[in-house]
Amino acid sequence: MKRLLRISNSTTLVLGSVSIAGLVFTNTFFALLWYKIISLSDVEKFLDSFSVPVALVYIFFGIFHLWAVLTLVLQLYFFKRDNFLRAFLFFTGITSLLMLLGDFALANDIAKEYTFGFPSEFYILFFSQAIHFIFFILMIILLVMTGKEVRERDEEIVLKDDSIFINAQYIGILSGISGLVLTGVFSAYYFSVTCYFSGSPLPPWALKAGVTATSLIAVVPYLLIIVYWLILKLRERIGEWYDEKQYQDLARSSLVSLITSIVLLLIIFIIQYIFEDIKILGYIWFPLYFFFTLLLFSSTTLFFNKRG
Amino acid sequence: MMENKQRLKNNLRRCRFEHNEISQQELANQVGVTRLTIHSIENGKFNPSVLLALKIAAFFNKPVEKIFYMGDQ
Repeated sequence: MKRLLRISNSTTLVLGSVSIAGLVFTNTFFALLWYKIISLSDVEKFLDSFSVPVALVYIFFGIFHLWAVLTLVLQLYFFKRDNFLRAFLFFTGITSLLMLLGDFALANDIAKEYTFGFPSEFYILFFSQAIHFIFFILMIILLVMTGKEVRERDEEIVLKDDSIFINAQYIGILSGISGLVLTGVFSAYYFSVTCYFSGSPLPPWALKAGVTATSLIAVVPYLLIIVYWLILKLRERIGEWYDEKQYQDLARSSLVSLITSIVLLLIIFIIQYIFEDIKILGYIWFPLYFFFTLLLFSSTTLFFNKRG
Repeated sequence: MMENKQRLKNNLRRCRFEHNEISQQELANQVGVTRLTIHSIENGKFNPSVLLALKIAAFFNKPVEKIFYMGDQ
């Protein structure tokens, strides 16, 4: 296990360092593409010259992401103490991996639509590049920080692991926050366009598609950590999945989440009842309810568990 | 009616010290709970079940009332 982790750490470190150089290349490409579109230069020729190298760099990014996630899973297994940076990287790594696929779709749209004006997809593309950059840098920092410990420390014997329990709560909090923020941003954008440009409002499917896609991106890391936790727990009887303090913490946080989520749903119901014209709530009430409850449940569980 | 201001206290930390300074993790492994649970019991933030208290007492080979006792808040 220790040897496997050491090999995985070193490989990820090398892949990560090369990926940062790749990210500089792709960002330079996108910045030049931006410049060529606004200066009405020969975009077609530029795309023909660079699209294959950029695609190859993206395939390399994909390999790095998969390797990095594998390393993070090994680290979660090896280190029996919870660590926010590791949980944050698991969340960012999965998000960044999903956004690699989104980058392909965005780049494809830009290549098709630039003749009709400046494509707004560029903003999402650069946001996605920022997520990749944060993941690459923080992953390298984690590997450097834990390298000595992996070399010198033996694996701690822990029969009842609480680190995965706490890490799952960290990821639940991150998923909840990002889900709420993304749903809020999409809704605000849709609402403002519909109010101020009533002649050409966004079609409802745009909001539905946007909220569904971003909700999936936000929830996948949480689903994956739960799957990982379940795989670990399958070796135990269901009654032994938690110890008695964890049961107590979960019971308390479930009660808080239940009461608060009912209040939230009541507020949504009253708003819909009074303002019948606000149809937007009909599309977003479930993501709002889900991410709010996830955030509340994970944060209260973490609070009760960490408090003592 | 007299107000009940008593709470469960324990000598867990001392017992660990006397038992070759066994770590919280080692004790947790022996009685089948997480390290945080032992930590919370020691700090008086969590009251263990009767079963867990008996398991801890059996591990230290002491009567349960030598480890857990009622004390003023």
